[in-house]
Amino acid sequence: MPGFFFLWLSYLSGFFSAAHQEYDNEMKFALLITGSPTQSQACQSAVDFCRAALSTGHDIYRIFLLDKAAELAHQHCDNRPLQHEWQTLQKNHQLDIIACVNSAREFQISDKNNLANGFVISGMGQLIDASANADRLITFGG
Amino acid sequence: MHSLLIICRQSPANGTLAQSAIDAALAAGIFEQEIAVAFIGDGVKQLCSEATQAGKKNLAAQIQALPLYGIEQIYVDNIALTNANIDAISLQDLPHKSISSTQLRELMNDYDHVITL
Repeated sequence: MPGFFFLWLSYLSGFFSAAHQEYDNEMKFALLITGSPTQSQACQSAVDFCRAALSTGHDIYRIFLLDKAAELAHQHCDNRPLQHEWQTLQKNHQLDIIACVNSAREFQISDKNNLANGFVISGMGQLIDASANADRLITFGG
Repeated sequence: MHSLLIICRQSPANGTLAQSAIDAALAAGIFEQEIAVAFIGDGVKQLCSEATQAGKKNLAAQIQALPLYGIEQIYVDNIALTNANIDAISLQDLPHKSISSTQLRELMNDYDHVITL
């Protein structure tokens, strides 16, 4: 019986130290998404990744939407449930979600008319800044 | 500050990603980040002389301008270049190094961040 107890204790301490280690190796992530919100899995995978990273104590430095992913920032994006997921996450964690200005123009998105809440339009410099400051840069392609 | 490798693998005829990759490279040049650009696969078509890329004149000119933005490390996949049948004339003005896929792997190891577009 004491043997069992010891085993259980060592399992428990292992569990806690593993959890502790996770918080110790806290990282700053930057995400680059290029896949379309309607025709690819990229945006969904990215929001799942964000949620998982935030819930384990990591930090999301910035999310950069390039090319077809910029459609996500359109007020009338065809994938509203996914857009809503992003907006909720953005609101709860004050995420910095940037749509590339050139790509936004392709979708006729402008910050005065039809930019969805929680998104910002900016230039390529924001991606370079994210790469300079984040520990890891992860691309979700189409 | 992290070093950055931008890999261009899109044909200029295929959407705007080819242009975005060069935009990113130029932006990184302005920020004075340590940066390299590699053209692989279909991406080597971006290096075609202007005449062969209808309506994409601007892109070839921007690639020629990369060294002016302090981007000296330019790599070109030599097998893709042979396959794409691109004349070396359009590459003469651009200082670049030929690499194989093995060397590309080493290159990716050498840089902190890799952006593949």
